[in-house]
Amino acid sequence: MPGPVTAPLNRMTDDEDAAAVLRCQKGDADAFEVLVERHQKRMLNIAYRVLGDYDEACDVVQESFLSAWRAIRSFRGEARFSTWLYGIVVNHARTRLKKAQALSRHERTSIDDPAGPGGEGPRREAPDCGEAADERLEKKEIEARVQQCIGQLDAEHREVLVLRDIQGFTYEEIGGMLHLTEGTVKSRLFRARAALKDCLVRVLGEWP
Amino acid sequence: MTCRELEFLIAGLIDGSLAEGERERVEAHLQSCGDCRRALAELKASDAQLKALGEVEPPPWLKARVMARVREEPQERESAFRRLFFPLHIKVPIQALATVLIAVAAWNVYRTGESDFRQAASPPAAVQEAPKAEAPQAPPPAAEAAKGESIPAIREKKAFAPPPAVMEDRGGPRAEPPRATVKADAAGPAETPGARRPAAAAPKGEEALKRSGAAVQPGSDSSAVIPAPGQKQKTAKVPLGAATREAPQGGAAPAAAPMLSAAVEPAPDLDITLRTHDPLSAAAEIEELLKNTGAQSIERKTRDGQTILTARIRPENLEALREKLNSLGPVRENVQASPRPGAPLAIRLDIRSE
Repeated sequence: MPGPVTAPLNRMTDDEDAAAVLRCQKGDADAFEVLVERHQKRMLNIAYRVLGDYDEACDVVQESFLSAWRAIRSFRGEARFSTWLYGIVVNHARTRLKKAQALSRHERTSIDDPAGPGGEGPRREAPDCGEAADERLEKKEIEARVQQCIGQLDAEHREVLVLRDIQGFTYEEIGGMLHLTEGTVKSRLFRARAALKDCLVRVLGEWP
Repeated sequence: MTCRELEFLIAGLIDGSLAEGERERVEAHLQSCGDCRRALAELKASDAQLKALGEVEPPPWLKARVMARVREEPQERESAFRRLFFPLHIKVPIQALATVLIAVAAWNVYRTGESDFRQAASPPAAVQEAPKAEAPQAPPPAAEAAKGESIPAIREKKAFAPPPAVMEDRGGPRAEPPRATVKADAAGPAETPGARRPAAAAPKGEEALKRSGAAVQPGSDSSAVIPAPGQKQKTAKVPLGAATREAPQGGAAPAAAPMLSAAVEPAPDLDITLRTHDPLSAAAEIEELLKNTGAQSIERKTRDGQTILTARIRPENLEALREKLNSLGPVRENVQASPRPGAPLAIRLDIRSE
């Protein structure tokens, strides 16, 4: 995992987005472009892990940025801008997930194929040149099964698992994004981890 | 420590957030419990799998697409409230000033209208008072009966009547309501003969009509050419059926009469229609009576079996004329204008066959 993902945001002494946000609140779209550039990757990864579909995740990120632009005047800086922004993307992802579940309740979801139906697949970072092809294939297979297990969690458990164990946010930050108490976040995370562990034991066989 | 208690502490163990005392207790339990060791291993492996998940990269078009949509959004997305009142230090004083200006303008319009209103209301009040002053001199019983009907009508309408001069000058729709007031005053002239409508206004209106080539009815002024049917029904001493029957004809007959005389002659104060079996002889009798009573400007015109008699009679002779007319057939009177007290009464007699 790269540095920004694992480094908790609360280590930052200052909100690096503050100046750009202020310009955006005065209607400066160029300043918003800076924020898009800065946060699009993390937002996409949150959406992708919650939804399990790359194309859907891209749509959700677009909608989230648009919502953020429309509502940026109402942002008062009580929390970090990034916390506010990631809260928006989680909300959009949740809404999209509920719609998808309602539409294809009896269909097999796209979690078996993270690329999604007919999708070109997620763009990944360039693989290490020394890595063997079969190892990459095995890793991809394991990732798909892990994602499958994430997709089997309830939406509320999925969110906290993605935000805490994949994205590395603190309990406080997660509570701010989801408007939950820290205790509720911990409780959900406990259940999410237990359910994921059971699923992985099931799909990966003799493991660990 | 039980296995159940350990479950809740394992998360802290993975996060590295356990207090020193708790950590020692957890590790002591793990030494003695194989199931818990296994559970911890699975959780750690699960956590490792999650952290090993690769990151996906955003497509190159994502930022461009987001910004294109952002730039399509309207620049000002302020609420209606904000647009109305912000910035407060500019918009609120302007709005307050505008409100004051509107209030002042409205007050001025009201005051202007009020003076017109009072001016308009005063002349009918004079008309109303006139009959009372004249009543002791000539109180015919028929007129008294009519007075009871007419005065309430005046009281009802006088508030809406502008002064006669203003009425004539403005013409058109504004002229109609005053005419209605005067007509409603129909019984007034009957008991106060000699009264005349304002002199200055009528010729002015007639001249204007002559110039414009408009059809002018005999015996009427410019503003009120054809009495409305509703007003006709207020005329005294006429059976309701007759009035109703006459309503369309009353407007048509004067129009058929000679136009020139109407333009030259002043409009009558009293327009009387007589239905009789022999219009010619009736006209002769009435003319005779008029001559005997000293009437002036007697004119007689006959056309298509209809005889028009115009004259100026003294108010005290009006009752004698009425008696004569009633003896000849059904009579319908229509007061065209309020007469001036003491002045001769201009009458127009329309004598037709039954």
